[in-house]
Amino acid sequence: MMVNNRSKVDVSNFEPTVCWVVALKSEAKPIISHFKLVHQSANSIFPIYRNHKLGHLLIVSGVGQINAAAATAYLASESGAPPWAAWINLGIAGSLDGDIGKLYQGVKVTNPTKEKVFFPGYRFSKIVSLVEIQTLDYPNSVKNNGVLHDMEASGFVDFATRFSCNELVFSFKIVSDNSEQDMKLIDKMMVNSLIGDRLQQLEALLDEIITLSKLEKQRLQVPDEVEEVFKQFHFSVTRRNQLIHKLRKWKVQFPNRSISDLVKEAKTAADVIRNIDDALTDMKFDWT
Amino acid sequence: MIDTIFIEKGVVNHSRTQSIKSKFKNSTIIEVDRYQEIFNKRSQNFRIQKQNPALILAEKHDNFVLPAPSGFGLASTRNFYFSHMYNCIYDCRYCFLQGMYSSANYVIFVNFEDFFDEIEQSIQANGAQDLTFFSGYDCDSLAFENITGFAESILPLFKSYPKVDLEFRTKSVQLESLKSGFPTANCIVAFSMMPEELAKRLDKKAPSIKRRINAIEKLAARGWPIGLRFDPLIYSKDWKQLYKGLLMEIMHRVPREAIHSISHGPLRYPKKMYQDITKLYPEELLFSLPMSENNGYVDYGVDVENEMAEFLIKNLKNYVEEAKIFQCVVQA
Ligand code: SF4
Repeated sequence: MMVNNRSKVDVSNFEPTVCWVVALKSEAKPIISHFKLVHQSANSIFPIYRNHKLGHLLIVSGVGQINAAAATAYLASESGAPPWAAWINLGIAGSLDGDIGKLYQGVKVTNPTKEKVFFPGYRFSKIVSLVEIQTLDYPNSVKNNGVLHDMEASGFVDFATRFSCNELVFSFKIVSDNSEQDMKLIDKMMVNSLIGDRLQQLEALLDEIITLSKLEKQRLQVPDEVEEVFKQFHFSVTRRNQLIHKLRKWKVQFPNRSISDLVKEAKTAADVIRNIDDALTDMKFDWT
Repeated sequence: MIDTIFIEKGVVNHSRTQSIKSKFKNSTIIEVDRYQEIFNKRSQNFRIQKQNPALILAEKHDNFVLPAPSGFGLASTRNFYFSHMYNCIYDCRYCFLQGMYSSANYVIFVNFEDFFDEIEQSIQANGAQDLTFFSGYDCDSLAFENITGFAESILPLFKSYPKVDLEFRTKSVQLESLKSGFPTANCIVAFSMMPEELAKRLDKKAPSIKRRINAIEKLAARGWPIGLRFDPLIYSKDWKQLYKGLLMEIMHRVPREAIHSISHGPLRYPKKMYQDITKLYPEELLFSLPMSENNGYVDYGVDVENEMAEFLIKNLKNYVEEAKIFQCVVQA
């Protein structure tokens, strides 16, 4: 039976800045408690947690790349995450030669079964080591040198890059097993402490990620004043886009002027656009 | 400077790969099958990548030499170009590469010899004279010279064809191999120039005009033929005064005999490229100033373009003969 009364994430007055996609509850726990995330709807297909003030959302996807992809898409649609939101896949991974407990950023993510390859994320090599991640459909005990093995990164990156740009999509993995420590030893407590021990490093990464996200927001966000103008006049889709584009230019030229100067004597949307054009054409190319 | 090098599996053992790698001892090395896997992909963000570009070492398989696009060459000869590198270490705000690629990573094709073979074939097929080959269409051809040694490797080829010209187009001043080596009479070192006041705003991360003129002076003294490229010409309220100052400085410092050619071209973009670049830098003053669409191109309009071109020619006439001055205009 279809469940059709699932409630959405409450997005009123909330803008997600960081969307976490984590496979296991035990991996999510340290993040949930560190960032004081609160469980959202009990009816949600995937458990979702949120910190309204920090702008963090976290979804627990379950194991495997299909789950990771589905949870990513679900979180994007439920939250209306803007294109400047950063997406982070965090979890444990196996390695042949990596140090247990070490945090890596996956800068190449492959899926050998589907012959897919991705190069996600702005690289933070000053904070974290960079690595290739191979996403497999099953836990793998045969490992390659210098490569981490996980079960979600590829599905996650494939989908997250549809909602934000490639450089704002990150896969961070902590080595849980290697040639000297068998993956059978991994339990909830161990996962919890592997991730808990890396929170400081994750905080440093988040600082950088949020800076990038802010820059992208400045670039993409439609100026607030545009909404005001839309309320006053009827704009066709073409004129809406024209207004946004031209108003941005106008703002660069006249950062201290109010848009009401342009709207004052206008009777139609076309008048507003003409006023902006006139103001921009009058510009004297002053570079000093 | 480079934290990550992506290397095509096919060139991992190439001697040039090894030599470039050795200059970045602390970089993470990641192997890839083909450079297109990582370069210029959907949803990449040029602006963010530009903050920390990676290096990609690859092999080029075809189209080593192409006819130069309209508006790039010198009008008196048949023009070809080649690109051993995509993208640039500088970040000029008007650069068309930021509208051409979604990726700011640097690609270097390490199989220089294949370029040289095809260049030689083109030279022979075209009668070995009245040809110019341009390096520096998809990159600054000398800015990475310390790393690639490309210019040094290609010069012997052009020494064998004295009636065929090679142009390196650059803003770089790190030109030790040229400054210390013997000049090659048919190899032109062409510098992109604009008034310092504008360069400070627009030629981000590139050497100042003062340093470029110093470098030109040294190369000219050494005997290298010099090209001056006023391309793009940037309009401003006081453009005449600014360009006049620049021209005076050049004329004062660079002997006219050293000038091989001077070219100039307006600031002009195909419409789609202009839209992409302005989306990338919506807060940029350059793109908020009035430009209009004409025949699929966005530019200052023909009146401004002509006025600037005429001013430049008039002021350069006493410096070099008119036959050495070329206008480069991208045609619709
Ligand atoms: S030097 Fe040339 S190629 Fe490099 S950023 Fe500037 S305009 Fe672009």
